[in-house]
Amino acid sequence: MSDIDASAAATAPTARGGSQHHEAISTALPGRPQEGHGEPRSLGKDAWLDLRTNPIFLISATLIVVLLTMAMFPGLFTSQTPESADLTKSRVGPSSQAWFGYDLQGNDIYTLTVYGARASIMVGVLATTITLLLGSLAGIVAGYAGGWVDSVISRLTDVFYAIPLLLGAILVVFAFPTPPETPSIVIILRVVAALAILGWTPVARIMRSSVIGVKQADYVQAARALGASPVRIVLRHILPNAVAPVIVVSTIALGGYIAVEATLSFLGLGLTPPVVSWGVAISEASTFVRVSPHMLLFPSLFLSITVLAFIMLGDAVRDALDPKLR
Amino acid sequence: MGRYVIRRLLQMVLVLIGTTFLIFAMVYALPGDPFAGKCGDRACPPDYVAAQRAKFGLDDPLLIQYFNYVKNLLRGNFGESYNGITVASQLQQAIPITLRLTALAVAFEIVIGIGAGILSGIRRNGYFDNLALISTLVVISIPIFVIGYVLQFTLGVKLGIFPVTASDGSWGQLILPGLVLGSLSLAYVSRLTRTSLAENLRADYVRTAVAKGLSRTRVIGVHTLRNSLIPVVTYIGGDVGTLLGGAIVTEGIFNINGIGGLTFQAIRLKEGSLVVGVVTLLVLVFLLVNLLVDLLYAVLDPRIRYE
Repeated sequence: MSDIDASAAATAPTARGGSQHHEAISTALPGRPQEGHGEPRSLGKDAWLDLRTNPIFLISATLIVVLLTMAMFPGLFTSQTPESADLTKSRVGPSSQAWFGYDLQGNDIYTLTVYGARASIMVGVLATTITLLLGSLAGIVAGYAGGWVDSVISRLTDVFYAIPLLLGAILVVFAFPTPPETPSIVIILRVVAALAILGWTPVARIMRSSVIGVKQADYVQAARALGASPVRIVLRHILPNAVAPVIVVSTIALGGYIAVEATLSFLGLGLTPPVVSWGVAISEASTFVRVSPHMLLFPSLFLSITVLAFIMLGDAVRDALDPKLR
Repeated sequence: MGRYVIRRLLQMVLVLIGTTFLIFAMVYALPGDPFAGKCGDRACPPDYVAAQRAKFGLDDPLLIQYFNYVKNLLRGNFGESYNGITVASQLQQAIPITLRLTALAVAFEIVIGIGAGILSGIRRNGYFDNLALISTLVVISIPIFVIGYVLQFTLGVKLGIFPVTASDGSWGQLILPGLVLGSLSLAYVSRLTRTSLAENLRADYVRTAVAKGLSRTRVIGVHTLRNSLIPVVTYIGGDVGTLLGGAIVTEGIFNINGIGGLTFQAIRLKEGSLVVGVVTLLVLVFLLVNLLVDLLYAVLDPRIRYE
């Protein structure tokens, strides 16, 4: 192993060679590091120790905490409400009074952006949770049961996977029209449903393959030999060992869903006023990009930062969970 | 190999039936009357509506409507929309433009994405690697329509390098929209290539190649890259569907008369046969590309054999 490092060392910085050397030792003697640290560590604990010192994780986690706070208590960040508008200030650019400027209706864009966090993040979190549950269930059943159950679920996954997400989402949104008096939460749930109905397939595929990978492991055989029920085997033995890739993909997908929500809103189909969201603000601003770019800049900046934070979090968690990359 | 392809083609038929039925059922469930507002200010005469509903079989149950649709489709008849234009002729106009747009996007993914991935993969943590990492992150996090508007405004309106719209859909006009459409996947492709290449550079066969005294270009360009491309090719194959469906946004921004706008209108007007026709073709292209990708595995990695 170290020979290849030597050949790659022509390009890699020297500090890297050192860490790989350490890795070579630890793979050669798997028992050692644990004895050295006193007590044995689980994969999760190991990953957490790794994450705590990873700057990318710390930055993205901080950003996410701030954004979640913004979503839950927007009043902490601004004293104005998104409903207050002053038409005389329509499309006035950024100034020292209003750092982000005003939108078409004369709303303070900073206030709108703060209040927009809730709907956008809610769509992302709910869509991710539902796809995670649906996809995991389908993947576990297919992978664990095998045989014709696996065939049926796999073909069903193929069917949903083959339909482009955006096209399917448009159809679902059109299928549930919302009259003007609909409460915001229903409008949000409609978008979540549109994303979840087609979004569960990647999770199901990954879950299925990792369950199949774990199913034949010795400890699962041992549990089965001891007479554990299938439910117990799946929940206690298979799931904890198969869930890591799914978590990583879902974290990254969360950012993606927020972006898709914005795209749907851009098409006039996602969230619609009275819901305040980044997608709504961006789609309204895109008409005025040539005259008032500030209207587009600030909501998209926040959207991008959120998407970025979740992608970086997913990346960091993957690095921590994958021992090969240490 | 032959048997594998046949098995895959049979599975494909199943998936096609499933997808078309799913889409058909969804369009069937759409609320609203396709003949509302068809006759100008006045409501349509009931006789006309009744005749049209009978002609399109709109009062039949879902399964019978679907069965009739598939029966016509097998005869090569895509049906016609409610204004009397055949779906086939509408598809014939729109599909080539969208395919051209998607092909350009995939070309950008392959050339720029894989190129940048190789450059950053062989010099991990170098200047170019960091630059590529940051720029791909930025691209990934910006919604595609923001990228579209900004590029259209700066490169098209301000600098005048590219045409601002692409209404007749020629190759030259589609370059900028193709770049916009492919931008997100381009970033993913370059990151995938980088990771995969960097991982494979540590493999035994690379060491052997170096030990044989092969040149660096050959070791990376032939030995390592060939194996590293498997996840990349998988990603691009799966991405074709997303690109075809996502073209709807790019087409809107650049005023391209592709299937995006056509589908959007069709869904709004509840034109079942048009929506299902578009989706059938999209899914068919998607499935064929993915079959091709699976067959490519065997070319890229000689250890993979299809019995």
